[in-house]
Amino acid sequence: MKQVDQSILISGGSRGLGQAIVQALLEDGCRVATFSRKRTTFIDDVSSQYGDRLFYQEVDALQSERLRQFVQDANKRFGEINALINNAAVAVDGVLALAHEEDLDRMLAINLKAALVLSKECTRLMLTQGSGNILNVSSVIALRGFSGLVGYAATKAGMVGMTQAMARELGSRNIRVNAIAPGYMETDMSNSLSPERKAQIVRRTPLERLGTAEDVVPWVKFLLMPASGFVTGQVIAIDGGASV
Amino acid sequence: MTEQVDIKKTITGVINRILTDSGRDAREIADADTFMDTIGLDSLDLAVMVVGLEQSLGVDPFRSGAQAVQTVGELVEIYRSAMNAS
Repeated sequence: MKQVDQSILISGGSRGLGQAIVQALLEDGCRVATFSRKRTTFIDDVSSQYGDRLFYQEVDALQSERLRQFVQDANKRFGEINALINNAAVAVDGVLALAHEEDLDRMLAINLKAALVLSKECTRLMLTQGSGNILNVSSVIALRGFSGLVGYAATKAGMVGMTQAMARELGSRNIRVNAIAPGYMETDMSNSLSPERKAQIVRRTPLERLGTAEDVVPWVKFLLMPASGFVTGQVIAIDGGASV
Repeated sequence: MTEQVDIKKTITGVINRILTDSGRDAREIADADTFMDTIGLDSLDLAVMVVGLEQSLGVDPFRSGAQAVQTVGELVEIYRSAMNAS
């Protein structure tokens, strides 16, 4: 199956890396279903530009029943879901000793539980279709840690375990499951970092810069393509060498 | 009774579709047959069966906490109860 023939569901596609992935997949001719808590001007723009090839709803990832309904609605709209990209995430920084439990609950629910729920629902469809592709957006922080992001790291490390277990569980049914682990990127989520903290990250990165969506999107596309058909259960670090 | 026969017929159809889609032979299905030992379905086949039954019967009793069952007859009863309750 060429990428252009695919119906792809991606969580959190209204801004940041998700926005860049949605834009690229629509430009490539894919049908894209995405949701976020609040509609953005980007969604307005791509809705008018790509029409029926974009399916968007406002969905709060904290509500599992709404996630389940979104998958069913997207499947009804496109007739199939060929790939799922678990992208939606929140990060609340601060040392664990002072973290609010509500923030930990929220990160676990959005970053990890919602990914599990979406994977469950899409897997049910993919099993009956006899093929599928799941891509989890983890983080290099899951692999190397980062002071002040313990809760976030835990959820992203959970995604790594989820990726490897699902790859083993579903491989016999022609469903691939991989993860990407971007390093710190120039996105909305890193805008809250102080200049000093950003400079510290850059110093520790062999390629001496933060990542951009343009660094990550080609890997997303590659992992959705038949060219990567013998790759499953892998975590691809896209971090300028920061994890070396 | 008619409803129960229809549920059994639907379950039999879904099971045989799973068997034939994976290159196995369709077969007669008895109430006492067990999914794994008698019919030879694995856990992913069972997941496909539950999805197929949800599409055909409009309910998935396992979403609302029904326990796993061993035989076809037990599954018919689970779906009959779920459909009566919906």
